[in-house]
Amino acid sequence: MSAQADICLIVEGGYPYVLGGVASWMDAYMRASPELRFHVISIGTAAQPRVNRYPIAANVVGITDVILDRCPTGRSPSLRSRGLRSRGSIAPAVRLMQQILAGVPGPSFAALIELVQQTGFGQAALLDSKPAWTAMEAVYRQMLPNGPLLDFFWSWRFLARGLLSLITTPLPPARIFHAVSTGYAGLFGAYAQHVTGRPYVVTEHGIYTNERRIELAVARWIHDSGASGFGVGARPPELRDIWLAAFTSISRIAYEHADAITTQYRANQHYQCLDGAPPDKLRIIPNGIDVDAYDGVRRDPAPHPPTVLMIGRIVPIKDIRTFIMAVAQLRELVPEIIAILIGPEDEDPAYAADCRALVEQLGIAASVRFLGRVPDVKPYLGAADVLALTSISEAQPIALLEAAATGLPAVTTDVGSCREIIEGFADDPIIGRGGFVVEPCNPKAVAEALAAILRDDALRAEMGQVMRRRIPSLYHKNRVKGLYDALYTEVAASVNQAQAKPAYRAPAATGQADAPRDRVAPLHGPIREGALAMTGDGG
Amino acid sequence: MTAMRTGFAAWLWFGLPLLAVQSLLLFGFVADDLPVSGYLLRHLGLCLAAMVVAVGWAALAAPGERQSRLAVALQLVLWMLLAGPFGTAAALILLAPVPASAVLRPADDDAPATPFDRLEHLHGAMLDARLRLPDAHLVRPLRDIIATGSQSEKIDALNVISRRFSAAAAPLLKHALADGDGAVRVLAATIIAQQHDAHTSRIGALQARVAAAPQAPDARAELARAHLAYADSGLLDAARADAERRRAAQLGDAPAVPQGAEP
Repeated sequence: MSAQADICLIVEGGYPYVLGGVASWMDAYMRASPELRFHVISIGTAAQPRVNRYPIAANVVGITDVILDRCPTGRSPSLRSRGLRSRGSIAPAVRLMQQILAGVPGPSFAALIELVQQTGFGQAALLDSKPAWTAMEAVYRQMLPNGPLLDFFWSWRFLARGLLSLITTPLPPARIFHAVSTGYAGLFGAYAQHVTGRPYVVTEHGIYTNERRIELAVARWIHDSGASGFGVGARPPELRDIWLAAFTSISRIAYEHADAITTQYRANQHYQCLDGAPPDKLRIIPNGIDVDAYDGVRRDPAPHPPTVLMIGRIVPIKDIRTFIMAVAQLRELVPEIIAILIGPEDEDPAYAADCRALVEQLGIAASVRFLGRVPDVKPYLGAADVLALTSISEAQPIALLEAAATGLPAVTTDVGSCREIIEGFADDPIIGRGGFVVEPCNPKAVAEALAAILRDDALRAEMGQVMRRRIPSLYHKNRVKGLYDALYTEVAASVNQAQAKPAYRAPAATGQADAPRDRVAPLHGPIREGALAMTGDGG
Repeated sequence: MTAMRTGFAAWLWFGLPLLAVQSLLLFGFVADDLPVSGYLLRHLGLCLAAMVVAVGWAALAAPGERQSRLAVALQLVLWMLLAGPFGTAAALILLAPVPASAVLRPADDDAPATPFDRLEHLHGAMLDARLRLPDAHLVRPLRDIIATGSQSEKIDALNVISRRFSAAAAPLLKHALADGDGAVRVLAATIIAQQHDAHTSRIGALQARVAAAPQAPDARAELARAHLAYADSGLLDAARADAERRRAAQLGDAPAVPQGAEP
């Protein structure tokens, strides 16, 4: 068991094994809060490589890996001693899992946690036994009556095993549990909140259910029966609906158990409410940056070719192809243009190779430079004339905030809070636009917007000034740190610590296939004041 | 029947006077001005005369049109012989041309069916830089959903488009890019990006094949077809689609090079 932590951060498919995005945000957040001790719950699958991509911060006291597709074997449902009675609880347990995964959780989640704790059941009883199979068949007839049993079986097995894996993980001692998404991370937070009674906060960068909806819509591994043809009205349930209902349901459980729910910008709150988040729990806390460090960056006065900068991982969601195609069209408007791409290429090497091939294909190799990861982006921000961001999906991109703080105008797609950052919002004290917002996947629009900024020195300077003034008022690290401090204080106060349940005792690890692992980091010195500075390309 | 209709107009001026004469004969017979034998003799004589005139007229027509004129004439005379003025009237009605809007045409009327059609299609597209979207009529229900549906309905519609993408659906995706719901916009953008990726990746791979074996005609033809498929995908604006077609033409896919087109 690791040392007591102040905050237990819970993340799915991210830190410390994935670069960028929420993982970068977490790393920066923990480093910027040295007065706090953190424990990290990292949720993933067995196939995910578990190689640290970040040096672990000094104030991280432990990391627990939760493997969704490996759960404890648990007690076998034998007929000896108490076996007969406990065998009778298998079908009710499966029905509870069905209610949790089918979108009508109600009190089922708490009931399942308690039933599993009482019986000691795990995979052997609830997934591999004869009674579990019979119960699963009944669930199949209700949930996917027209679909193939085999497809349902494997989907059910993954979803149910993930659920069991989460609620059998030993909880680390922590004052506050903080999930950085809903979904499995949010469900783990709900489990921790139920078991320990500690305060629980959910922060959503992107809306988990929306992201899963999109993934499922374009997923090729899910078979559609085609029974509905081109119709999208009343139709029999498809396997895709099973998955979506499960994700929606576990997100709803996370919202119900959370004491506070935060996100970076207003538009996300609409979706959170649609997914069942109680409005009185909603808060907005934007991303924060070290404005002072970026405000000091000065534009390079030396003559240089017009330069457009893109900062981000070379992955499909950043839609680097659209940027490259835009550069090809921009060359016709600004022939001497130089395009610089900064960001790691190792997350999706095939996509990165395709992007490089596209540059060759379009004959613009002389204008495009892939720099990979760089130790410090500030010199490039100072040397550039405009930032481009062609992402398909974003939340609140740090790269845009950092560029804006240096007074660099930007052209972005209309995703996440990009429009708010560039154009401001109702009641924004800073009037004016700091660039252009264009529709995604439109290279021509990107090229024309970039050309408009590059060709007009006065416009470029004016937009840069708007950006430089807007960022400190809303996205300064000190303001953001104050908001988080206040939130933690608020939720801690709202939970009567005297009623917090006694220290949680982990269930006996009987025959665990791949039990969650604790990796203990060294304990650290006295708590001291620190600043919140988040860097990286994460939204 | 279509061929017969082409000769109809020329015979209209012949059929109407014939109908008038037949009607007068019948009127005379009904009014007891003509005996049965007299009526039958005049009726047969009129039919014979009509046949002679019709055959003569058909013989004067151009070789390509001669057969259709003769077919119309024989039908008219046959109907007239059997049913007098009623037959003539019926023949004129049956042989009347059907309005173009009422003619059932194949669904993909714009789509090239043969290599020759394909060449014409390509030539026309290059000359007028117009985007042609076959099967556009199939996507109307999806368009309505994208325009007015709920978020889940729109996502379901985009899901259908993602799985069965065709050029006709491209405008729907572009419409969805401007949707008020961020999730719909993101999904539409994801599908568009996937489609672009599929085309550019294929073109890139084929370019590598051509670079490795520049003289291999199969690889060049396949690359040209990939460029054409991208041009016809509905994903590109007219200028870029035209550029893709020109790239295909430059690859020396001989049938794809239209007469008079610039390289």
